[in-house]
Amino acid sequence: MNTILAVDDHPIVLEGLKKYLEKNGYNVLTASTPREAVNLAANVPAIDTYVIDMALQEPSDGLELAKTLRERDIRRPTVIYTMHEELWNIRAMEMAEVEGIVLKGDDLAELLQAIRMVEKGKSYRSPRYNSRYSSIMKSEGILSTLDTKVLELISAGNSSRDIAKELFISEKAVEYHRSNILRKLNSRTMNEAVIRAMHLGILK
Amino acid sequence: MSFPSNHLIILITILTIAMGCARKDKVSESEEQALFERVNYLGAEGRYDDAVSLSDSILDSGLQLSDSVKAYIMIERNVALMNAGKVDAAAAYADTLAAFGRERHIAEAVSNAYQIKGVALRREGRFDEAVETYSQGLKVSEEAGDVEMEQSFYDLLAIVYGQSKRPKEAEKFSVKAIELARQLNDSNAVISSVSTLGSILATDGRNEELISMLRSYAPYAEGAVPLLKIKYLTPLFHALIKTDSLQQAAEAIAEARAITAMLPPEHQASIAVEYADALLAGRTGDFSRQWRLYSHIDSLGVPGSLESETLHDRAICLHSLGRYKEASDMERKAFEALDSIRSSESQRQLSEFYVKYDTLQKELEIQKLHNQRMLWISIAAGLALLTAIFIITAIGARRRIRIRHELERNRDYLRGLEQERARMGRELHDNIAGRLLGMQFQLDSLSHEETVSKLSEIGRDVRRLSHELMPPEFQYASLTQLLTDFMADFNVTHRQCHLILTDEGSFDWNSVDNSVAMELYRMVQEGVNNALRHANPTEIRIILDGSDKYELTIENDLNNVDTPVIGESDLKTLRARAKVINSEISASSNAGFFSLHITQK
Repeated sequence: MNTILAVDDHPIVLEGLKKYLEKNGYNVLTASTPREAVNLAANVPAIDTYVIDMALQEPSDGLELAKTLRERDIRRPTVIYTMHEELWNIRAMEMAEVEGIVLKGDDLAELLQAIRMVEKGKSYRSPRYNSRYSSIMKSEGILSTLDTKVLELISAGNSSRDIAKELFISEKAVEYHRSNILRKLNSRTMNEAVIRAMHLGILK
Repeated sequence: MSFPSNHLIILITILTIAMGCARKDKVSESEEQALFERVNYLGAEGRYDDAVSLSDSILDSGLQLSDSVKAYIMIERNVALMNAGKVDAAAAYADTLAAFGRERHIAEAVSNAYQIKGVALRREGRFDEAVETYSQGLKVSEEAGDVEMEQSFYDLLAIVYGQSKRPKEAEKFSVKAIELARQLNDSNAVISSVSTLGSILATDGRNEELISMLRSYAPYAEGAVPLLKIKYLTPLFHALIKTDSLQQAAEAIAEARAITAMLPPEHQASIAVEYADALLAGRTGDFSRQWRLYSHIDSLGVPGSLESETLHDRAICLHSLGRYKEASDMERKAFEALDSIRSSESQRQLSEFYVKYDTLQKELEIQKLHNQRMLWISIAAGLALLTAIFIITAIGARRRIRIRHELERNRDYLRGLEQERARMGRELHDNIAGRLLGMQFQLDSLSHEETVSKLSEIGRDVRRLSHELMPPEFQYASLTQLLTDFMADFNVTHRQCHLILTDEGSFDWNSVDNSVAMELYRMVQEGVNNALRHANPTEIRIILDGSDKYELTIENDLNNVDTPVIGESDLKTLRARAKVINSEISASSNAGFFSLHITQK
């Protein structure tokens, strides 16, 4: 039976997490502060995985704790589990060297999936996290009104010629907008761009 | 027992503040502002002693004030001492103020201390030390990048060099002071510095140059405060008299009289104008009027030094009126007032006076030149002291106005934050808490799936609220990414309204400072929330535009709503935010659409 160290400063969440993971066959140790977590990690070599909440109380947050554990040579596969879905937190998590990232708004099964994947030495990002990261953090700019209209017409299956006629612009101009769309939405194909635009709510 | 009402007010103020602060270890920002505003109010109302007493009570109370507010209160105390005529006390306190300013790195406090110290030194005739003090002040102002303060130090240095008879340096600093004042586009500062240069040129006898220079700054004088206008006119009418432009001199004096009519007759500026008028009357041969003017000046109790130096003019006047005996008595007084060498010389002249009155004119002319020079120096010294006090008061007033505006802006800003908090509080109470309570009642009847689904919905709304409250961290995400995220999140959570974000211009939105980006982001949040609250729109557009400067528009349809599309207080908050980032905001509604337009100034 694998052992998990779960770190969260909300007692109710920690208790719920412990019960859920135990129900799924794990031995769970819990810590509510970074200091407690470091102590446990240093003294219990049997720990296989860390599941850490991103927003712990001062002096350090979950990402800092993961870094401290790495630096003290007690590194284990780590899953960051957070309700902080703000874009800047997503970027901060992406920059941290952690194996798994799951948002608390995700289904609980995602957490289990993440733990299993990181145990196997793989990295894991929950689909919702991935969608936000790739749709927004990788976007290169904001579409103009005309870019958006061209994209709408493309998503409705219109050809460049149809679009040119519809919008009273040249086909060359349509091509220009196509390349704008691909660049700004950081997409390789128009299909990919349409999917990203739907994730962002640009297209209904 | 009667208790003075002023003291009662101060006692109540301190008690109120003390009661408010006793509950906490540290004074809140708004309490600090209230304390400062009270001291500032007393100073602005001319209740200098009260301002000093209240400052002392606050500073000695042990309240934990922020360094900047403490420094402002100390400055107000020092300005009040100065305005109350307690120059020595102000100079002594200037050392405390300077030490505090240096320790806490508050340049304004250090500069103010140097100004007051300089005035005290000049009053004692210690001009070299005053120059050194002002030079240190100038250095502090330059390092702090405070151009207003820098300008006033250049002006003060010009005045002190003028007083210590170093016209070259005085002229150099005066020209620099004028240049900076013009950069600041501050009429009062320009006229103060121009008048200083005028006095320097007058002492040098460069009257034609002086007149032409002063005339060229006439438009600035129109916008200057009355006291400075007198300072501007004084060298002008004296120079006009000296160059025999008597009609123009009369006009300038009449202009000055219109201003001094508002001042007490014993005011130094009023007396300077009376003397000039008397001088003009003498030059135009109207000796009766000249004598009336002198009598009027004497009735006001003119300072002794001035009296002795104008006795000679009075003697000439009496002589011209044929009152020879009185003229010779007056001349004797004039000579007695001179130094011993000149006095012995005068004895010889006096003996001739009794036998040959008709030779008096020639000798008097010689002496007149000396006396006029002395009169000039006295008037210049008096006006210089007045100017120094005025500069300090004017800087204080400017700062007070600036701080008041800043406080008003802060209040609008804070009011906006409070409204946002109230909105979120309502949402937490009415939406989240209400739904949780509902769930509590239904727990027995809900299936497991329904419970999980409802909890997830509530969790999503809580996350959205906490997301709105979080300050964005721009080191991890750019403004355009945050706006894109805002759009994506909005479109997931608001099914009835579509939010569209477009960029129509070439402005690089990711190049703006983090503080500007933060305010723009908050304005978008507030603008969109405002649209949802007031208009029930089906579509909201955030339009980014601009090339060198940014333009941002938040536009929504009104969906047949005829109620106000934005509350006055909401707009006030947005204006306060716009002002903080040097932008303007306008609101308009037209053809079923409402828009907020933000432009960089």
